[in-house]
Amino acid sequence: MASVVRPGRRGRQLPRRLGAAFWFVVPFAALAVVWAVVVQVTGVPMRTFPQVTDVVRAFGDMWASGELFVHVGASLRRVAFGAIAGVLTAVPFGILLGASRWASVFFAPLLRFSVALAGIAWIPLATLWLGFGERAVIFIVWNAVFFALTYNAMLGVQRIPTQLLRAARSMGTSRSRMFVEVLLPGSLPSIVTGLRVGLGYAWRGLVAAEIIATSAGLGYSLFLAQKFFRTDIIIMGMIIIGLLWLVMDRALLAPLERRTIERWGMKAVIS
Amino acid sequence: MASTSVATDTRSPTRQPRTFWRRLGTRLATSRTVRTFGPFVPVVLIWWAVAEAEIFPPEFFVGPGTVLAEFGDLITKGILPAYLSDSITRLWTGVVFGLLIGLPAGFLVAMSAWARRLTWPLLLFFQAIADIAWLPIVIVWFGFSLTAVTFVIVYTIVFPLVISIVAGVEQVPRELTGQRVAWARAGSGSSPT
Repeated sequence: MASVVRPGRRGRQLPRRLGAAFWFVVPFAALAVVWAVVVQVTGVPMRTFPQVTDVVRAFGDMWASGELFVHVGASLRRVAFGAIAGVLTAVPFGILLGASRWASVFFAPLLRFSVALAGIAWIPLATLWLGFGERAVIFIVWNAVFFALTYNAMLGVQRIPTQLLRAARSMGTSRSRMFVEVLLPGSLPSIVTGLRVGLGYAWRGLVAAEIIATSAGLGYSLFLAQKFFRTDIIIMGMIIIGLLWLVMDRALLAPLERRTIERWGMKAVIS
Repeated sequence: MASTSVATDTRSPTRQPRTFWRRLGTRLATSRTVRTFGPFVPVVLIWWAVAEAEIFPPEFFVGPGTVLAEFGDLITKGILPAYLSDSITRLWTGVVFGLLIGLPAGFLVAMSAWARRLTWPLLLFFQAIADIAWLPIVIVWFGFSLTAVTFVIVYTIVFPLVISIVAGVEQVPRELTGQRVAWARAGSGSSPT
């Protein structure tokens, strides 16, 4: 928060980046080496833990057979549908709640409760209501995004300075323009934070729901591999799940959050 | 809950003449308990009404009465308390081990530039692997056991804990206090949450 902007940062941007990339890769390389050596020395069977090469081979096989794309594609599609549905429903709802003091007082505890409950705990009901398949998984993703996002949109509206609201109102702004030009942009930093949190829950919920409810997707491939003790596929699936989330979070959500927050004149407190 | 609020309301001193209902309204609206639990009352009522009207087939959508009865049943049979105590035991074991690993690791990573350099990308990566994704391999390793559950809980706790400790230590203003003092303060003062 209280960090001071260091002068002359732009001048040595490129070497810094290269250095950062180098130091980002080194730990992973070291981990892979340690992993290979440990498995080699202890002679753990593949039923318990795979060798690095096994995982690479599993990756190659699944890439070649196209299975990888089926699973990754299915998972990403579900996240996309669920997240889009979540944004479309939660943002207007959250802003409406935030705009009314009574509504926000009333809904705040309900939303907090639902955020805590979102995702995995809904899987049994989702499969009961929507059957085993796509719809149940998308429901889980939507559910996780919806509550976190609604809650944060509501908080975001409440954090808009009262002077701004009064200024807009005193100039006779209509309700619809108020929504589009004051409330929505004003709560945007909080909305983006909510989206990031919600998608985090959603990603976990997705994997869990796919383990239970479908016949394709990353979670399902893990589940299937576990049945046959294919630890190489399990580890590969875990790496892909981690990487995909890292890419989504670091390359998409975090910059979006930082940019929104900075543009609104606040200091970003995210790593 | 509402009845106790009404009871306390009647002896509240009034500064200006207000109607009973307005006083009741303000009292209720400012009461913490009512603010927190009040909203659940209409939700449960709607739930009950929807279930009672049988808009959805009763097998798929049970009312609060059925849930309550089932709750009582599981309590008297001792199933729910047993499940609950099992869950709490697992949670506790996981939390204790998580703290034992996460706290030292967090301060090590926060205070040593080398430890940080070598582990930071790994921390981010492992935090990104959802705990759920560990379940298959953990079950392969330990079966369905306390160890398996504890492992997942420890995993869930350790990475955010370490990352938060590092972030917390970083926020101590170094320019003001000097590196060493900053570290000392972060080590003793800040709460490990």
